Amino acid sequence: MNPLPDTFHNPYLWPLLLFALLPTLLYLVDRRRARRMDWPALRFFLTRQRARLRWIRLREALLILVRSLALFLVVYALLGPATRVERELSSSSSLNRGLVLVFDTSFSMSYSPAEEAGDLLKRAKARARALLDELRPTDSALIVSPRAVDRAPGDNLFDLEKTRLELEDLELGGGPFDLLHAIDNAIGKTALLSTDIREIYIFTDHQADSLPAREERSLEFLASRLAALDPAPSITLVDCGAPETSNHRIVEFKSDSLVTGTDSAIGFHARVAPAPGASGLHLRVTVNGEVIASRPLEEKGPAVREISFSHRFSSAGTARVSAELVGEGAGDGLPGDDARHLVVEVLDRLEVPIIQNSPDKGRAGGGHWLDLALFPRYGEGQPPKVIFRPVILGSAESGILSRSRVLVLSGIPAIEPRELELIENFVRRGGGLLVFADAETDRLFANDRLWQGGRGLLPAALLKRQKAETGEAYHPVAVNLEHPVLSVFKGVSEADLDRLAIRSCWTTGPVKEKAVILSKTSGGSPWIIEHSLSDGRIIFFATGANPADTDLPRTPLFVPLLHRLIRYLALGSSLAIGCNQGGSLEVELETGERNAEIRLTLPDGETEKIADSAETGKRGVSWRKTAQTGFYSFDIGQENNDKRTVTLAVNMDPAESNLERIDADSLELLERKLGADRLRHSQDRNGLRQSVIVEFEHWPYALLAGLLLLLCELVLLRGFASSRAPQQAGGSS
Amino acid sequence: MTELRDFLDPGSVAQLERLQVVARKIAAGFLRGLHRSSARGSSIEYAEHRPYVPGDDLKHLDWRSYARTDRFYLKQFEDETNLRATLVLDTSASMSFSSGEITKLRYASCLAAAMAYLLLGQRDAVGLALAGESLEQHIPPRASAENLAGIYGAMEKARAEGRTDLSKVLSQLAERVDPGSLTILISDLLDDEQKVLSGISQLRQRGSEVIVLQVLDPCEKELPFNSWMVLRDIEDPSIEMRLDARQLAELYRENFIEHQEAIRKGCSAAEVDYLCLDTSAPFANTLGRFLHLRSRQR
Repeated sequence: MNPLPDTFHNPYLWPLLLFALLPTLLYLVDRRRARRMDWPALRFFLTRQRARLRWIRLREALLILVRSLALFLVVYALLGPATRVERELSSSSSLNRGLVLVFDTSFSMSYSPAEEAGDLLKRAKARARALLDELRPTDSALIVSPRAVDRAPGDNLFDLEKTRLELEDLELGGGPFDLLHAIDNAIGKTALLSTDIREIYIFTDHQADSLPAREERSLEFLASRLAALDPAPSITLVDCGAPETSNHRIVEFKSDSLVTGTDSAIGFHARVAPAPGASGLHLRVTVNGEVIASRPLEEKGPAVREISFSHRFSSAGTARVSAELVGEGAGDGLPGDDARHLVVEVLDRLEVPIIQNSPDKGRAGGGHWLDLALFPRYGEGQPPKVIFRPVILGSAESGILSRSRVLVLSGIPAIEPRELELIENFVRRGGGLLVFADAETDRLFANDRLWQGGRGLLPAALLKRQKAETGEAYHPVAVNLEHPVLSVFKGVSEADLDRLAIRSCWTTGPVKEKAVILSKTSGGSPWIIEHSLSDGRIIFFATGANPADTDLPRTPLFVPLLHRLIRYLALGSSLAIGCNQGGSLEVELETGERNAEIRLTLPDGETEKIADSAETGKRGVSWRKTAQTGFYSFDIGQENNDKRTVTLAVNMDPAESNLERIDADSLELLERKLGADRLRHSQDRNGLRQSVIVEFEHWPYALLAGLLLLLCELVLLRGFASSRAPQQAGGSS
Repeated sequence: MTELRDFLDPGSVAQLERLQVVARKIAAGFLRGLHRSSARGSSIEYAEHRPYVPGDDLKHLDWRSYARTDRFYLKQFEDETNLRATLVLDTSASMSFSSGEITKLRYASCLAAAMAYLLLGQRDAVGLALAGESLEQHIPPRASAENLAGIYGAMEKARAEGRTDLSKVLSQLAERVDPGSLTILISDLLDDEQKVLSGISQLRQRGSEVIVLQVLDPCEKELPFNSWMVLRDIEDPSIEMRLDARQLAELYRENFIEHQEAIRKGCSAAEVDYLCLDTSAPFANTLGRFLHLRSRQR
């Protein structure tokens, strides 16, 4: 056994060890405070007693040493030093065992090593089964995993038989595995165990993402939690992972936008990581099952390769886009990440309601220029190939807002409170709002109803109209060219921007905290400001969309700028976003669909009716069984009665498909922080070594030694006193 | 009488400047006691006659004058001294120590002055030797008032300085004293006891009676401190020691007692009277003890 302690139960008492220095300090302080005095008998005293004085000094040093050592030992005992000793457990052991088995059920555990049948979870379950078989009926065990079913109230939480049954039912799911969180959770459960021995077993594949690097504070917190338990549990990390893995994967697959129109092509981008040495692989992209592209992957190249292509959809609707790795040797240990899926909403028509003060104002109103730019009329014989369908209105209507994705306010008309509420709700649900503040904008109304002290639709309060001197004009400056909309100005020279005259505009107060000024006028006030309200985006122009305020509508830049603006505001987000494997799919139901029948088609083609099930919420449908990757289609409504289909994609979490293992440094850090004796690693494929850490307390011995030393000091003092006891002289005659 | 003795505590005496006055005051209480036992001189040199007064010893009546004049006259002689006493006063630096109001030297001087006064009153010859590192001043014993004044003057001027070397001083003195004389050594004796006893022994061999009066400050007998001290030797400032008085008090006291015991035994062996005096003790006690010693001698 190590004579030095491995741990201290009261490490916060370390400073008390300074008490051991107290005798020496007092001695030194006392010495320093010595009084000076002339003494007549010193010389003769020294002459007679030189040898004895040396002995007295030695004796003093000895006493201080003994006293210091005694104090040190007493304080050391208070620190609670202990050595941990590992003892083999046998069935004959009289100690009761309590086990908490933590399972990593993340989808990286679905990796199937080439050398054995079944995935890593199966391997983990086999090892846990062997462990449970070793237990006696009086022992306790509990499984902790995201998929574990909570025991009913009153049930024995650590019932061994129920734990065995739960082990057999254990499945993948529950999202990424966080090792530290799992340890924390397990410590909490072990605190409930009243057994002699507490053991935590964590069955994991040691995937790198499960242990974020340098989580020192979290580790210290866990160490303190462990130390607070008596008996402190041992933690065994059961390595169920494969040291060498073969896995090629699509790391990422995305499109420029999840909503697009039939009028333009959309870009797709894939990042592919083939397994080292894999050959003959192709990246194949399909839209609704039809192959639209196939790119071979070179044998040699970077570990992660980026492949991009574009596609223009010819018809509106929901497009199921999949990218998959195909070819000989495409099969690997983790098939879930060989394909990734996207659902793209394709539009052939996008209504753009434009609200202005007086819809029939003609060319003087900004709405006219917006209408022209969004839907250019080249003549009856040449209908424009754009999806925008502008419509100029005098007020907001709920019907058109429910069909639209974007709303344009040309000027800020005096909107009724009910309309304002409609617009606000429209934006908060993800709609886009484009606002032009023209000369007819009522400042007081805008600030009162739309700015609302920073809580409303406007990004800043309007202050006053700023007009350039006669014959002069302001120009756009500080244009954010990195913004996807304003990148249209890229390549435009400063001289051209100088020709873009801004004759009058609104000056604004300070913008909202999270608002971004995209451009300013040369007068110094913000011209274009972007901000968000809940899920919706708002872009505000401090000028009207008419030539009276600015030359912009007359320039060739206006059309592409406006088209980008509308696309950015309307097509930025899709409501049809799926989830990662193991996550939850959510579908919002419309008012008329509350009692409708809902039928779900799973990726493997099976269908399930989920209407009126417990999983149907009041305002939406939630589906959690998403272990399969692919497309999930929710058919809402009767067959011939306004049936609506929502298709969502489920993909493997990219982090889960990264089978890189925890590096040795992180494991070493984990071991160091939690205690090398407390944390063990097991890679034993046949079973787990059954042992227990027993703490050997040092403090009684230290205390005893300290008290003995104090006794020793007393004896020494007595001894010294008796040794110098004078032979009582007769004194003076 | 009691009032006078109270007045003569060492603290009060220390405030009196002239030794002559001090000596008279100290000795005043003892004059009557000495009256009947005054020493008789053996000189035959005629000095004068004086009328008889009751109480005079009839032995000294001049019967011839009575026969001639029918009156009683006493015949008086020039010198009636029969003892030659030398007071040896230690003036080493250690005698300057005082924990109270009076230094050991002042105490010893007062005592010596009183003794000289008393001795002369008994018509004994009194001398003085000042003992520093060597015999620094020696006034031979004479039974005259002038000599006594000289002794007082020498003691007034004496300063406590230099190291003690009693062995050397006593050795030098031994060459000068007469056989049958009395030597009174007044010192703190803070020196090697063997050397001190060796010096005394030489005096004894010379045939002188010796009385040793050890004058000590009460503090010297023990280390009455409760803290660390840095002690510096008075006689040799280069000797310095930092010590815990609480730890060393016992050893110091033992050591002091051993020293005193050695001196006492040595004196006893050499048939020397030894008396240890405390500077806090009243002079009356001290002088009383001295006279007790003297009466024992006679």
